[in-house]
Parts: sequence; C-alpha cells; structure tokens
Amino acid sequence: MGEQLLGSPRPGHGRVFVNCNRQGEWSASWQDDYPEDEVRDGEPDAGVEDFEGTEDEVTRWARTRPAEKFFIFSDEANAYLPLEPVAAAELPAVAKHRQRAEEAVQVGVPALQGALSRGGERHPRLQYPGVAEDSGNITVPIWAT
Amino acid sequence: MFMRRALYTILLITVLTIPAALTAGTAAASSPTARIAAAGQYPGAAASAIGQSQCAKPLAQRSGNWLCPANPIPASTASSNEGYCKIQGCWSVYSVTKSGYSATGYFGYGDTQLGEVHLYFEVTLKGAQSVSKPVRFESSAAVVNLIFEGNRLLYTPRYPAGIPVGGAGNSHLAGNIPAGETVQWTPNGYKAYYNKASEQSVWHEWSWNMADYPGTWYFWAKSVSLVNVGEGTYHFGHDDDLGENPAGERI
Repeated sequence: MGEQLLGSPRPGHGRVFVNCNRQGEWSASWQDDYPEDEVRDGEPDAGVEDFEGTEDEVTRWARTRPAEKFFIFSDEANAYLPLEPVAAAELPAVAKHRQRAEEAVQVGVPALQGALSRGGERHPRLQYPGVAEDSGNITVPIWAT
Repeated sequence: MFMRRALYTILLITVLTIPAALTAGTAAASSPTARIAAAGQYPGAAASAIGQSQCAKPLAQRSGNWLCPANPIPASTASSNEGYCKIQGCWSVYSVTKSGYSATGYFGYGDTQLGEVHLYFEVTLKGAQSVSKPVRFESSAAVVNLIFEGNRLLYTPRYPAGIPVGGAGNSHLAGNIPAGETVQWTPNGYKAYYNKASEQSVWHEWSWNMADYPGTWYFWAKSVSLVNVGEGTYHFGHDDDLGENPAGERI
C-alpha cells in the first residue's frame, strides 16, 4: 500500500483544476485520462500531476501546463470557472471577477440542455449544485458547456 | 550450596520477567505493521454491530475494547450550523468541492473508560481527485501506534454501503500521541484519483492502541457522497447524501 499508481499527463490533453481548501492552501491538479485502448493491464489508466504553493505560484503553474482546459474554483459562484490565460490575468481584480461572473451567468439554458443531452453517468439525485435560477436565467458552471 | 541455588533462581526469574514486563504494553496490542499491512480492509456495512452492542450496555457490564460515538443531534437540522448530525458524527458541505466530517467518541476497555477522542477530516475535490486534508485525531489519553487510513469507496445498487477502489488506499503511521495533542496525517493528508463510478465517497479510519491494554480501537467514517457531474468532475451533494452505514467502530 502506498501512493496510487498514476502516470504523467500527456501534453495537449487533460484538464487543470485550481482550488483553495478551507485552510487557505492553494493547489492545482492536471488530470489526463488515457484512452482505454491504450491502457494495458497493470498500467495506470490516467496521468495526474499536482502542485501546491501560494495562489500566485499555483495559478502560474496551472497556466503553464500544456493541458487542454483550465479551471479555477470560485467559492462565490460555487462552481469551476475558466482560468484565464496570462494576458487576461493581468486585468484588475474587479474586472476579472465581473468577467468571470458574466461568463458563468450568460452560458444560459442552451448550455445546460447541451450538457444534459450529452448524457454520461450522472447521479439522479444530483441537483447540479452549481446551477441556480435567477431572474429567468440559469447559471451553469462553465465546465458544463 | 543453598545460597548459590537461591541466587540462580533469582537470576532466572529476573531474566524471564524483565523482558516480559518491558514488552507487555506493546505485545498486548496488535502491531502497527500488521495493521498497515491490513489497511484498506474496509469493514463493510456490518462492522459497527459489535461496538454498538457494547455501547448499549452500562459501563459496568462492558467487556473488551469498546468505542462509543457520542455526538449531540440538534433538535432541528434546519437550524444547525454543524451540518447533518447523527450519533456517529456530523457531516457538512461547505461548497460543491469542500466537505467535512467531525465526531466525538469515548473509548475504553471493559468497565473502564480510558479517554475521549475527537476525529475530523475535510475533503477538497479537484476534478476526479479528492484531497483529504486535514485528517485529524485528538485524544484525552495518550495513545500508541495511531494509524490514519484512507480509501475511495464506490457505490452501486449492489453495494449501497460502498466497496473500496482497488489501488487507491493509503495509510499513515502517526505513532505515539501524547494526551491532548492534536495530530494530523502529514505532510499532505490523503489523496486519490478515481473517475470510474458515478457515485463515490472518501473513507477514513483511525486506529490506535493503548500502552497498558490489549487490542486495537478502530473508528471509520465516510464522506458525503461525491457524484459525477460530467467531464470527469465530481461534486458533493447535500450534507445528508451519505452512503449506507456512513460511520462506525469495529473491534
């Protein structure tokens, strides 16, 4: 028994998630699920690379991974939002927050319908905690698009 | 001649009894190595029956190792800030990616109560990865060979109490812990990645020995269920979304 057997993420693949726990510790994880037909018995079926540090260090690490998609968890939106590329990250904090909030809100009903229609394994009790009805708009987490 | 024989007798008794006395505390307890080797032996849904039967008895009638959770259940869950509480502990969901579990219990041997324990863990989700940090333990009495264990459980209709994910288990020997000291799974807690089941949880167990008593005390708890919300991402549901038999003790 020891560390889980995992490989390395493949450049150009996978998703990077940035989150901060309730102790204020920032961390990021780059996760890449290998195609099933490329995985042999006894070999890892996914590649995962993690990083911990300050908010700046973690977001910098996350943005510089050669991954496919990048997300950062927002406690305000209670959802994962896109992690902006470096250029957008230079925007003032207020503008960044507004931009993220708009992205989360304006995705709208079609995105939710699209996500649902793609199917996949979802638990029937799940209420899509990141989805909130507000003045006729539906807020969905950006990863659902 | 008589004096020499008496001296030999005393020497023999000394040789035989001193090592036995020195090792009594640890020999009585199961070795931590054996427990770590057996780690991931998730006890399953029926595991809490033995300990609970002890807890139903008055202290004077108890026997062997026992551990009784004793968490106050709020009169109204709606007004509780503690989350969802049962006698086995309280589960809280802070956001779709952050959830915690806390419990208080009393443990003892036979008719002797030995101490009070406080158990806690918090899980943060990133995609399909769970990070349990902190995983904590505190006891009012000094304990030896404290071990933290972790695993991911997957739920299916056939296994509503969950079954362990192979290869995802891990453990940490925290060692001997003085009374009143809060310790945690160092340096970074328990981490696991698994995305092959739509509904899962994170399972933790604390186990320890006492220097002067035989046997091992165990207590385990599952996190709030985490569910696949698409794109390999998992979220916590509500604080009462628990698998069957969400916490318990085993002896």
